[in-house]
Amino acid sequence: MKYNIGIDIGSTCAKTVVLDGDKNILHRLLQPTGWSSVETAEAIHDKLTELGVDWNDAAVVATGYGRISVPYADKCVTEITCHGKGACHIFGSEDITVIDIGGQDTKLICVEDGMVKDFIMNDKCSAGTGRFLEIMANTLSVKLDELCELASHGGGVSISSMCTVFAESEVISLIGRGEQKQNIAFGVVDSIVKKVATQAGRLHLAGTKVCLTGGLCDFEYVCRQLSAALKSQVLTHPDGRYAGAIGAALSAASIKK
Amino acid sequence: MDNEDIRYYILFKTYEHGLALKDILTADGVKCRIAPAPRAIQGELSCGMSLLLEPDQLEVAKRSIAEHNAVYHDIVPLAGQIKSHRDRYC
Amino acid sequence: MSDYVQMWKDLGMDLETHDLLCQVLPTAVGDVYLTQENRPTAMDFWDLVISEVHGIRPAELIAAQKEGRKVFGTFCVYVPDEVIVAANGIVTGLCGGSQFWVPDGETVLPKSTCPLVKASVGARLGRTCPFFRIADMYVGETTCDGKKKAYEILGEDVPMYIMDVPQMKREKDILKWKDEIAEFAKKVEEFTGNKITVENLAEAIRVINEKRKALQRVYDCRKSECLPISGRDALLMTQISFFDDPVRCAQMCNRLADELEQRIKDGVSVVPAGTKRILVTGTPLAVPNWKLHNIIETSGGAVVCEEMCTGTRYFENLVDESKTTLDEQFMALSERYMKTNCACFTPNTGRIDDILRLCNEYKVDGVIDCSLKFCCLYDTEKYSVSRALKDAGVPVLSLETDYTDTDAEQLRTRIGAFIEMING
Repeated sequence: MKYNIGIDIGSTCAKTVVLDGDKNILHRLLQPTGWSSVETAEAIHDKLTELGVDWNDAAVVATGYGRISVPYADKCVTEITCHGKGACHIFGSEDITVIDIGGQDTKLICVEDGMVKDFIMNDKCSAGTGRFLEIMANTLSVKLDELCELASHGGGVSISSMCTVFAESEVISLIGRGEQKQNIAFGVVDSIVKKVATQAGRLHLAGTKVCLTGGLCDFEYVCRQLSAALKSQVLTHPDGRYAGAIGAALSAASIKK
Repeated sequence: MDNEDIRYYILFKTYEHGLALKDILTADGVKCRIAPAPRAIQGELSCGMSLLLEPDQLEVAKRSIAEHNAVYHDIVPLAGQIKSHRDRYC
Repeated sequence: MSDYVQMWKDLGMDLETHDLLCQVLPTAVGDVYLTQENRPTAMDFWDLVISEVHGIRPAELIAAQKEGRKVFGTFCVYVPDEVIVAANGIVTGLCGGSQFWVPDGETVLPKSTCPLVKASVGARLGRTCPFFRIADMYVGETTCDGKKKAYEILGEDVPMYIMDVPQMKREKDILKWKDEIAEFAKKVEEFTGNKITVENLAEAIRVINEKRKALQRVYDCRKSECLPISGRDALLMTQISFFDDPVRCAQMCNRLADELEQRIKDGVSVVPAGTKRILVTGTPLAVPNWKLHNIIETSGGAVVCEEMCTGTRYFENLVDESKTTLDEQFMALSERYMKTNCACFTPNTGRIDDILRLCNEYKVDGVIDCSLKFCCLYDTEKYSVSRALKDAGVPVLSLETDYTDTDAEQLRTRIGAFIEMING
């Protein structure tokens, strides 16, 4: 196929990647998922048409929690498989551990020889996910990047509640007590990092490359803290948040029509 | 109603009638399956079995019923009852 | 006309609430069972039973009670059916497998109780299940803490007898369980008014063994590369076997096994070649809990075996039929029941051995270890189960779920990814 399209409809953002026959990235699209995955999928279709995608020469794989809402997809593949494949491609390694902190869940995926060997996802609540960070940033009246920036100057505070709702009240009472914003921000990021590190303890990370994908991979501070907690350099890449979409597009490339 | 999705439910006052008709239909080569009667079409009947027909079996089933004077309560069309990915359990 | 409504009224049931269950059950049966093509024709029996689940069998039980027989409701595969059957009593399983009963259970139990316990208590207190109304006596057991405490609450509403299940499997524990069985036998004699003799106990042991053999025959068919029955169908058979008359149950299972054996000879499979074979292990799936099987089997997998109380733990191992005194028979019963490997015991390495053996016997591609929420015992054992399986090179996915539908999408992602992973 000339156009191998991967569409990753996450709970917060929809990511689309178009690869050519040689696995070069032709297009990247990023948009909020909004209320309706179906409408988002339609909008993506329109945009791709505008960009000149020839649908007669295209294969589409959908992934992410909205994967079943893409009517024109040839196949649905779970985000675990797609993130594994995508990360291997981005980081140029067949053996890698992928940490994906998404809007709704956090995944840890072990890849060996380019194949997913094991994975862990967090429970169904939003503890330790991107959503958790968003809500806390909101409570502190800052943007996500500001939260990370603040956190890098803070310390000394820990948020003990795992539950997002309880953690929010904890943050509010910290504010009430007059705790400095940067210290609270530190506590917020620290709580996510610790949660991920605990999950990682269940997988064997020794000796493998570790990378961070998903919406948080652009925040250098999160990466640095994760590296410290995991005692391993956590790699990032500008295309990190497209890992799922790239993996889906790679799956599309193997579809025979 | 989504036409493609419609199936027919033969309802009975008692499951004994249902089993008797199932034997008759099976002997006549009519394809039918035992299914719990959807509550929406049960009316006054209590929870119980029905026989489920695909649309293409409706006419042959009716002929077979008439031929054998089989006892049943009603035949009711209903859509949207059978979906493998609905994930509504009970 | 079989007027079940009158029967339910006579049982003192809450008809209005019960009707809500009558509304959702047909849809779930349609989605889980009638979507399947090429099911064994012998499944007709179980389709009928589930269609009339609160009708036919309850009516039979009530008829038997009118003849003076007693109905015992049980909650655990450790309670010996043989003793009850010997005294002409009837056993019916009472485990609640529906979210429908959970809110009524939560009116008296902590939220952080496993859904099976909450549903079981809720089905009684909410008066929405005929089996819970019919049973003359409930027989509980000291397995998990959730059940032990729940029995105290149930005991305020219904005659309750508790058997003290050991927590370890030393020689003295097997002897202790024998004594518990003997004591239970006295209680059953007293309650039914019938004497338990060597003869009627021998006959009961034979009857229940025949039922076990019949269930095993169906499971043996699932070992075939050519899979003649879906996991969903086999699960329904096992779930219903807790409620049915044991002789009829054996008959129906044998009839099904005949058909499955023929299917294997004819090369009739319910799934395409290469479909990944999944062993499900963990906490029981009480009827009508079909969520896990349905998701697995609509995500490209096939369930070939359940290492569960609603599975191999129910029927593996037979009771020695050669004993000639009551004392020896009670010991034979104890020895058989104590082979069941429940996470309530410590250590419980026997369960790991069972899982590894079943992986071999059923040619399993992957194991899904799933426990009900708040089941600390099976949840904790996931660690050793998954380590043993990984050492043996068998992929394993650990899950936790309850009776609600709300995590279906998350389960679909995990199970879908797991099957993609074993497909490579």
